[in-house]
Amino acid sequence: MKKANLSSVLFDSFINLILALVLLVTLYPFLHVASVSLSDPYAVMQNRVSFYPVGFNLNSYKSVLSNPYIWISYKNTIVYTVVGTCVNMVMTTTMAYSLSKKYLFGRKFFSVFTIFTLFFNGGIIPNYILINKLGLIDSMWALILPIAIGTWNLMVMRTYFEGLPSEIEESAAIDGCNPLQVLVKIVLPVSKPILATITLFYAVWHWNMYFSPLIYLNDKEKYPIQIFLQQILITGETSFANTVVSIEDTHLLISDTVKYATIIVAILPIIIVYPFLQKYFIKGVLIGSVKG
Amino acid sequence: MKKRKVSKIMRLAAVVLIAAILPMLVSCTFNVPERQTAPGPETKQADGQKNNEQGSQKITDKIVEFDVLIGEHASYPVTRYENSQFLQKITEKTGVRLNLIAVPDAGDAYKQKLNIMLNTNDIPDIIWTSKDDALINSLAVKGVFLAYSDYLDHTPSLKKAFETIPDIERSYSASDGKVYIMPRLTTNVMSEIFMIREDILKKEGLKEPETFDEFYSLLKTLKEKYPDMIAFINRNGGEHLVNRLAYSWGSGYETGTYGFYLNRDEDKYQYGPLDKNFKLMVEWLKKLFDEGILDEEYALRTTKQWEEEMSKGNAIFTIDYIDRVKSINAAYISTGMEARVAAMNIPKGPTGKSGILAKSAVMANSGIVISSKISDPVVAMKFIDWVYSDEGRLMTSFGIDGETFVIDEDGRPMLTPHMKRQANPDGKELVKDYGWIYYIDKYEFPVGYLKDVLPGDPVPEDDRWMFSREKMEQANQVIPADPVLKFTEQQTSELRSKCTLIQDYFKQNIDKFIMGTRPISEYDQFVEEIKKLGVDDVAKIYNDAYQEYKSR
Repeated sequence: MKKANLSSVLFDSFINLILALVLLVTLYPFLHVASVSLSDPYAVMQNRVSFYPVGFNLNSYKSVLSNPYIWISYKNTIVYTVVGTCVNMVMTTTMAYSLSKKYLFGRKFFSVFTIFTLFFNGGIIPNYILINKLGLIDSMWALILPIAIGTWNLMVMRTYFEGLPSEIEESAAIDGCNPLQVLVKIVLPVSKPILATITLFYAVWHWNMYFSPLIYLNDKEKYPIQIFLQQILITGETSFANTVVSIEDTHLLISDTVKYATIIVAILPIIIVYPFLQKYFIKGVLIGSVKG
Repeated sequence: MKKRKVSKIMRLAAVVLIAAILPMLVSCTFNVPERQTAPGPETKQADGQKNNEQGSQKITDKIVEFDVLIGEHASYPVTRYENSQFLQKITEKTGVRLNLIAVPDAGDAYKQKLNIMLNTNDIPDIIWTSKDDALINSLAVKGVFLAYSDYLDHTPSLKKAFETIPDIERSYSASDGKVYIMPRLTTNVMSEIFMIREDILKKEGLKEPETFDEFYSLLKTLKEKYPDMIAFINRNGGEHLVNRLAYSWGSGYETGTYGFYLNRDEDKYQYGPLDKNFKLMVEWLKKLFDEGILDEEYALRTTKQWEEEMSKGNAIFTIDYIDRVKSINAAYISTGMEARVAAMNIPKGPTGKSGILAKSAVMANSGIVISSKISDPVVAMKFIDWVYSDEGRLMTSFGIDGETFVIDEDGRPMLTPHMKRQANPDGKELVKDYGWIYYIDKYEFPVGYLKDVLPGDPVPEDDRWMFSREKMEQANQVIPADPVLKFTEQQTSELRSKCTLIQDYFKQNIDKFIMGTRPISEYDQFVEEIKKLGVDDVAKIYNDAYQEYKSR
């Protein structure tokens, strides 16, 4: 065991101090949001709340939790995320696997055809008309089918599949596997890291979806949590400039305590789950980088 | 060589872009539906039914459903038809069932959704909040919406509103002269007031000032007595100050029209900062700033910081929305402070004027529009008419007669005893318990029309908000708003390009003059500079539009 000398102790405590500061800086926003949500609204107005609640009360949580729509929209978001991610994964994996095969007929054409969408798309209005004509307006499939394949994710996955040695697939084929069996029994089990990462990317994509549900859904009971959040958080932020009618009725303003309580309710599940998912995110960052 | 390659790629990109944009353009020139002007035979039938009913004025016996796009405010969640007694009662009274498409009215959400619906011609039966009147009118003349003007025989209440409020036609008719948007009519038009710490005035035995010179010496005295307080606090920057002070100084500066205003003495539009009196006002503000009376951070203070200083009792005077009287005093009361704010009469300026411009009584961008593809135009028209009728007005404003309110002996509505109010904080709520829809009323009653203090209730503390209202009204200091003008597309684009330059240049300089970083002796030079940006051209556009407005 190495004997600790003075300089290394000093160095370590210096590092620890810096890390503690960084921790404080990152933790403070969460702490502040939590304290505001538990404080008296007038104490917040007078800016007396920083690290701990002033005038502790749970009224803002009562008003947030008594709103049934926070639960309805939560449930919707979970459904869209789970179903959407499953569809994404099936479509992306199968297409990426086929495109990774050099002997695929028209491989170059299909690749270019797909990559093209990365740079150009029809725009919102043609998309809306398409969805409307398909009869998908006000249906959850309008949020899932048009983005069943994310081009960028497809490319990452294809590159990964291309990197797998073709010998194992060949030997599987010799042993009598058909291409589908090769994919399911041989390729997917050795591709778990990429599958986990892409799943996460898709799930986050669905979780954060705001604009598509706003324009494609009409029934309030189908709205995801992001629309609910946007509505609570942005309401009352009126701007003074260039409005012909400037209205500022206090009964139309939502107090910060309620806004912050909504934030806490909305992010808490993610915060709880995040530590368990974090390692996959880190893996995701490394995929595609040079290893060696 | 490389350059050529780049340009080739660019050319390719351009071609692809055009290919991408083309379908968008095509989709905008959608098939125009046939205009339905002549009411069909179903009208007579509906009239016949109406006569058969005894007393009740049901519009249709068979239930007619309409899809309605409506904004939803986060404080007033929209309830589904199945759970809303209020919507069901409307069906019972009129025979119309409203299926609401509630879109958050926060940020740009509603406007984005509406724009996409309009551009793809996927238009709901009724748009309850028009949001973009200019766009609606430009589509309306192509036949996308029904004109109220064509159905006036069926709509007595709308006809009456058109006659009594000429601004509906003057400001909202489309280029073909017909009205397609039935605007929201409001009575609560008061915007901002001069707000002062009433308790400090009383304690010091000081009188309200009559002129701006007296006002200056009042603030100076107070600043000397209370050196730690901000004598004159302001948010929303220097533009806000000149906006609210200019009328009293005998000039004008309206932010909605980029600083141009209607000079009522000469009956024409002009640019405020060019006036002599405007310069006097800037000099007065500079004096206040130099002596530390005007908040040294007046130009940058945010709403949050302003709220903080106001509610802590650190400020003496401000100009702000009247509703803030309520929230600031509530903060004082809840923290046990003696402080109170209330309205102060506005001092008279050099020309003897005093006041602050109100909001327009005919509200822009919040009217009702009916799609021309609607299944039953006459029923829809009659339904909208009902919303503006006496019965409909009461119901859309206050809920269900006999349940949430009753009409008392003076003929005014009064809350029923089980409803939530100050004396009964746990009572039933209009939105939560009855599914009343905020934004549905389009014809407001005067403030305080609904009696919410029942006989037997304890008398609440002096309502300084109501007191402030009455004070402003008695002093005639709520000045009617400038008219809402209409512009052609060409005028709009010219206004947009020139006015943003003018406004930006003004904003950059006004604070320099007040803070003294640019000497006030250069003001005349500044006037010349800003004139070069096209002030005269813009004034001409405003005056042309104003003549057009007057000729209707």
